[in-house]
Amino acid sequence: MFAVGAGDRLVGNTTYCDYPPEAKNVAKVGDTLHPSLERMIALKPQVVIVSTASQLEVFTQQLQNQNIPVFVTDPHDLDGVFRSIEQIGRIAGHEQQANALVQKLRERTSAVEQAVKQAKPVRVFYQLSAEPLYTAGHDSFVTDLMRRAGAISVTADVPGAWPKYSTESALAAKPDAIILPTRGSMGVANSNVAEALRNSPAVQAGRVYKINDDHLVRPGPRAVDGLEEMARALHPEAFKQ
Amino acid sequence: MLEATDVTIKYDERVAVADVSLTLNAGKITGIIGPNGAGKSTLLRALNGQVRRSAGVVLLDGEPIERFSRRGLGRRIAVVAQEAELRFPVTVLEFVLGGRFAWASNAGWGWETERDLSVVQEVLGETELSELSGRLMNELSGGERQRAVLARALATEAAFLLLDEPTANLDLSHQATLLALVRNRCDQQQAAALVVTHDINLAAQFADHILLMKNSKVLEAGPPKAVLTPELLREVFAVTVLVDAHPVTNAPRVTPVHESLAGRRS
Amino acid sequence: MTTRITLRKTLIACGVLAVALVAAIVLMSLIGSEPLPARASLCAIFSVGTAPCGLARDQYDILFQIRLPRILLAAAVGGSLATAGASYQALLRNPLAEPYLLGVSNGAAVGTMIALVFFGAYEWSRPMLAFAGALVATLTVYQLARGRAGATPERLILAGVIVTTFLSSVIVFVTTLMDATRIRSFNFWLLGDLSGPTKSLLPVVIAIVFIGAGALTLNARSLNLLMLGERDAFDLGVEVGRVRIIVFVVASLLVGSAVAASGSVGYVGLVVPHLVRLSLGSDNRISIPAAALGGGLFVIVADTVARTIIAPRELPVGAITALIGAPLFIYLLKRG
Repeated sequence: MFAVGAGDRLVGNTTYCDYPPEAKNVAKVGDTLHPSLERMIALKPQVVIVSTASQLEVFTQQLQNQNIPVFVTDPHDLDGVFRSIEQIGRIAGHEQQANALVQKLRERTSAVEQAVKQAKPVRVFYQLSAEPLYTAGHDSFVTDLMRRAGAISVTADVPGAWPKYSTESALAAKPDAIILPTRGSMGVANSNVAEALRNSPAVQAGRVYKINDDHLVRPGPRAVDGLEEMARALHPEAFKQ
Repeated sequence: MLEATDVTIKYDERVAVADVSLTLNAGKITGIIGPNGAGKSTLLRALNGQVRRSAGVVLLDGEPIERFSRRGLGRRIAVVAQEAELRFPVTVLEFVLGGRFAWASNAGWGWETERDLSVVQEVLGETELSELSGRLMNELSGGERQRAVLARALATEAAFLLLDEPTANLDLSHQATLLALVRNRCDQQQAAALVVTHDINLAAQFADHILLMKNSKVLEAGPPKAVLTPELLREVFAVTVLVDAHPVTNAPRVTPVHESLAGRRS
Repeated sequence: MTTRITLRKTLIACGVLAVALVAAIVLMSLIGSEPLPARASLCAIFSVGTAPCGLARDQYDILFQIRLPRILLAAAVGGSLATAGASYQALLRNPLAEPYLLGVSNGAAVGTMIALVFFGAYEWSRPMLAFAGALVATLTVYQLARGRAGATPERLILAGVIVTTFLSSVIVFVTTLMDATRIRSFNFWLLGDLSGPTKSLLPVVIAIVFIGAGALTLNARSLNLLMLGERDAFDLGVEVGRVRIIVFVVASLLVGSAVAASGSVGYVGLVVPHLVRLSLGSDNRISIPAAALGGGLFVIVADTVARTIIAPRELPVGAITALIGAPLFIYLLKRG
């Protein structure tokens, strides 16, 4: 909403919404898993935008029962992210700004794609958490981001968005690089490579990359930041000049 | 000799047993009779330390029972209560072998010895359970089960048997059989028994000594003939009774006489 | 002669179960999401890891760094939970007593959670706080259940339900303080999961299952009598208070170490002792060691299913034990 210039039209958001900093000053309706229905109704929104990353089907139903229209975004790839930005722009009446934003994002994306085009794709393991071992599966838009960044996710064909992954399969996959999405503010949570991957080619070659997960797991404009960061980390030679 | 002197037991402020003394002598059966709530079972439970005394002393062969270890007491004093809890399937043999626990050479671990087994075989024979030894306890009839409970107590080879309403759920013939077994043990092995019972006639037949309790106190103690008098029984149970001699055993025989029935036949 | 029969029965039963357990450890290590050459793997296992037998480096690592430790952990966790269940059942005279049902597992889970949130850097704090949590939950349930006439089975189960629900809300409360990805992993762990990096905990869990099962077996004769009534056991010479403390402490230790390593794997402490008693009788001198071995066997098999059925994804092992355990338990209940 802020990115399409409609931040002032936002009457409420969740405790996880911390970007841009102004988002923190908006009334909070709870966290993404436990929003307060009462508070949402009290804020009298014209529309509620729900990302299915929050898995709130029952909740969505309740909102619709209150005659509050709900807009659900559920992007599985970067194009989906762009589409939902455009749709949100339309809903908020900031269509032009949204389209301009998406235009810019698309340009940055293709710049990245162009840069890594010649490079040999790197086999990457995306480690969402080490204990237990979670990764990004087929339905996650991060898998698409990795592809665009000149990488092949070794778990790209695993069903689901965020599957729990067999440790021995992770070992057997022998990834050449590992991406650790690491929360800027709470960096401890996922700062170590899972034990099974300690001897992987990635670790031996020192190719473990920590990337701010605000740029990876949130299906918003900052996903392109994440894409750029990943591409630069995986293919530094492509961005030299 | 098991000797209780001035035993008092209080639950919070309620007095369950007040200043009771009694002695169990080898070869003798002592009966305790009295109405419900007179403190009979509580007194019995205090004799092996199960129930804590508020005052008084219990001496086992001249030593306070507190000086004995738990297993030491288990070898000397056995208790027969009304019924065991049988939520798990155990065979009669396993159940009766439980009576040998206190004889294990170390704190409870180990296997039964040959001697344990011969003792158990013997009491199973005595209680006529040999044939049932492989059956599960909860498959037995009430009478058989109560015999198994007695068999377990006898298997401890304890010199003192404390029986708490052992015949409560038994029919006539089983009542007599059970107490005859206890009588036997006292006569042949110089055991001493204490029997808490509701059945005055049973007590009269088997006991050498009777304690008549009311309101947590002993009202009278002595041989059956001295205690089972119409006057005392009326005082305790508030009912008129006729006491005559049993035609066979010559023990006192107590028959309640309800006023409403008196004179009907004559 | 009977005693020798019982002794022989114990040795035979435990011998058979021990062989089955070893066989399960070896055979289940051949199954996994990544196929390994069977003959070479067997050769490597029987050489106790000294000869690679032609296994590639990563295959060798999968076998010895991932599968075998996980299978050994499954055996130790299963053994711990089943032994704890068997001893709770005997002590409390309640065939339904089970670490999960009594809230003991949840107590250990809360302890583990506190350790993770506040002392995350110290791995040792996990089993220790889990033990403390299990012990506190045990004593609370016991005190709540204890009426004037002792702890009746019904009161006990009710007290267990109360403590379990209370602790569940504590868990929910603490998880809301975590961030989203950790909630996800934590929920998985709560259901019982053996994939965690417990390498440093593995020897602890194995040592505790041996010590615990041993200590409880040494009290098996007392438990045999306690199973038939606390008063009777006292009369027959059992030091009831002492045995109770031993069982509470040892079982809490077993549950604590199991939960710290693998979350709350349910139903193991219920199903395994039941099956053991059904086939071998109620003598705890047999049923406690047999439950320790049988529990290991049960969880190894359940975890093999959990890690292979939707490979390369994984299910929590607790889901499998509950799936097998709940219907079996209903069947056992109906059969009386």
